[in-house]
Amino acid sequence: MLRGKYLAGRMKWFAVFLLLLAVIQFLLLGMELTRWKLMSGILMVFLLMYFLILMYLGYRWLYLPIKANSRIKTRFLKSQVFDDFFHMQCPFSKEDEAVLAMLEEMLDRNNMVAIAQKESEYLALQNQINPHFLYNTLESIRAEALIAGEEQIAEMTEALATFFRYTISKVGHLVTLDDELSNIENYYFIQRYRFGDRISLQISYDSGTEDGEDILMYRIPKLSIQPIVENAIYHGLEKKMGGGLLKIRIQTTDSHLVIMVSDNGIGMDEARLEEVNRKLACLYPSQDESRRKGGIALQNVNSRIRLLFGDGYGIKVYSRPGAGTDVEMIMPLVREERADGAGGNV
Amino acid sequence: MKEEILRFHSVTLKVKNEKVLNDVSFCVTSGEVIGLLFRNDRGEKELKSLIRFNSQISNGRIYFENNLVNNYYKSDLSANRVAVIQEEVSLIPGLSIADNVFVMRRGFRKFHIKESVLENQLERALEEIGIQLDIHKPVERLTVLERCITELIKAWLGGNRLVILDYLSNFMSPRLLWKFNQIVRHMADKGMAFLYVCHHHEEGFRYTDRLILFSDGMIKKKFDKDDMTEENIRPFIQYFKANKGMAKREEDILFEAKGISCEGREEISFRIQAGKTTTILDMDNQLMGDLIGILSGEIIPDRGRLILEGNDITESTVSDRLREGIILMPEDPIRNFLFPCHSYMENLTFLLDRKLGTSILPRKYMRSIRDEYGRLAGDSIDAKDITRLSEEQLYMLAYLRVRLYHPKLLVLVQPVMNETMYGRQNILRLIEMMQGEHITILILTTAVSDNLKVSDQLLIARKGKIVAEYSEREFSSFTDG
Repeated sequence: MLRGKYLAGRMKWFAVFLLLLAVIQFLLLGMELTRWKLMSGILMVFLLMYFLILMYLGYRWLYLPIKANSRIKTRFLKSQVFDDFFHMQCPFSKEDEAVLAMLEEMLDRNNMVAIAQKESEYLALQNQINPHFLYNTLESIRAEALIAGEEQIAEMTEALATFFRYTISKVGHLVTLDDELSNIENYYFIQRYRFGDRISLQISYDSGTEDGEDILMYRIPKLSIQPIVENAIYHGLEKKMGGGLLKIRIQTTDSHLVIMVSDNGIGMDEARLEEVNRKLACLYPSQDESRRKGGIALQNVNSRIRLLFGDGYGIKVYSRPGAGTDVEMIMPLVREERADGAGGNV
Repeated sequence: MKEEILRFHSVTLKVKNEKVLNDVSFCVTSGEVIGLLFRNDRGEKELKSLIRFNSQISNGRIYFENNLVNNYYKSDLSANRVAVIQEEVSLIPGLSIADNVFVMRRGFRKFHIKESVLENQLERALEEIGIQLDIHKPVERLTVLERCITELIKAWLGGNRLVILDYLSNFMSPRLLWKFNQIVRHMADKGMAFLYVCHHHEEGFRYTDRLILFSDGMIKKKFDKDDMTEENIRPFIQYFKANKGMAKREEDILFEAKGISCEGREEISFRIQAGKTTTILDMDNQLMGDLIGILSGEIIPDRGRLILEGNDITESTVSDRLREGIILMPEDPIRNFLFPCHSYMENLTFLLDRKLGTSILPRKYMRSIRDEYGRLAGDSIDAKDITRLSEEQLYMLAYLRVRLYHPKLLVLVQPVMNETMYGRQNILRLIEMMQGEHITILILTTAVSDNLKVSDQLLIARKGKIVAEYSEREFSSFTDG
């Protein structure tokens, strides 16, 4: 009765029990006026027990769920959670639950993911040049360079063309780790022309899982590691004196994929770190704020991970001046891409 | 594939509207030993509690064995299957090992218990795990190592997949610690996971697969095994640089123990040079008790002699020690050396009556002490209630009392034990202050920790006797290496 799914139902039963309490009290008053003293004493004890039990049940099955719902709503208003709001354990009524489900449908989660995806592509390309045109032009430059015997230019152009092709060709939300890491190696190859031996890249991962699966076949959102690598190079390593090291470590558990991108660059101070992590805690930071204070790439990746997989996943940043920066990404293990693009087969 | 046992995701905990844990995320998988190193104690107690019990959190989620057990909107106060091995013994004396392992565990419901059946089960389990233990030994007679092994087996057979190893170095000598860690590693290979809470990064680097560094209730850095280098941790800790040049160095022998022995145990001899700091590292904790007793005057050795500045002080008692110029500062001086019901000034001048030979100190003395020590102690010198002072101020008070008395020999028992990283640096600075006053110091410890940073000489004790002696140059070379 009091354990029903909906708060409205629980409230109804609670009201009935309260009414019963009032009736018993009325009876008790009647007995007090008559000679049934013993009966009224027994009834008094019973009444006290009944009252205490009712209070406990009210606390457990009404007060706590209302408090839980209130916490979820507060966090939803602060853009800190998304899933929890639409899947509350104790909705007020069946109708409320249906309204929330409809709202979720209307918000069209996939559309939001697609917007975030487009934004990431925009970030990767950095301008609005038609990528197909750019890709074809680069191929032509490469051919010319090969004919002229300029192998280095040809190699660099090929790497750049491959990078653009990856960015525009994979239309799904999820790609294999293998693809994403190849893109990063390609990106690193391009950056090496600029930085030379000043930066080096290390990628490490478990060779394979016990059930014979290749870790590189797990799927992650496209362009999720590359923007972080780019951040590490431009904000961490570029300003560092001496050699910079960029490490990508991939670890798996039976349910999660943990990717750590670390650099030994200049790091960031506590105030900046707090600001970055505060923004990462929100699912939709305002665009103005993001652009003004930077860090949009990180937020974009974080938002896509959370929209695709839920509130229990995302990015954390650890840093200290002089000690470099670690960006930790936590995602579920996804073996196949689902039709809706979200993580399945976890 | 590694099985996930515990996962904290963005956990924030507020106590009295202050964040004691801030956005804490980490994961523990089977077969791992994860180190937890706290630079200060903010959030430490709360974190350990949240790992064991699902009490209300302000934000985030906690998963145990892949189940969501606690989150910001619902906490059911249930307990997770987590065991703790700490200084406090969790076994019940008077009961056998088998009773402790099987009967005193959650979910045991039998009324008729056959001792032989339990013992057989325990023997089989030990054989399966590959650990040897005399199961007929009464619990109260178990050694520290045996006690911890028993608690570990109890955890394993009780179905606890996660064990918190809470400051093992507080009660284990380095050798025992190494031995126990071999067993921990063995159990980790069998699928258990461990959270290894330690005082020092060197200990964490040695015994853990990953180390998580906390400060002010936040994770500052996660060190993977290949990140565990001094270079990588340097930006996160304050390195203490002992200014040893300050102290005047004298080569005279101030104190000498010549073949002293108690109750038929091994004879020990050592010498302490004036103005220097000597550390005695008791590897297996067999010498410490006797030495504290002898140096404090509570125990008179059966054999041998104690010489202080050429005078024989072997027969002198506790009350003579102060007069002779020896002060022994016990472990945890805040609780064992200070008087919480007395004011700061009363605590500071507590020993002066012995030195000056008068029980009432003249006012002008008090004024002059207040003026001089006020510069070091700050406003806290006027505190009437010292229980309101911070730990840092209380340590300062304890050491200032010694400075004021200015003993010939200061004996420090485990001075940096149980301290956070900040706390250790603070105590090392205070020891350096004593060195600056040319006070000869003897440090008695069971763990090297940071003691060597202020030491000029290291004596190693094993099986109750001194087995090796190193000068500063020698131990610097092997600690650096």
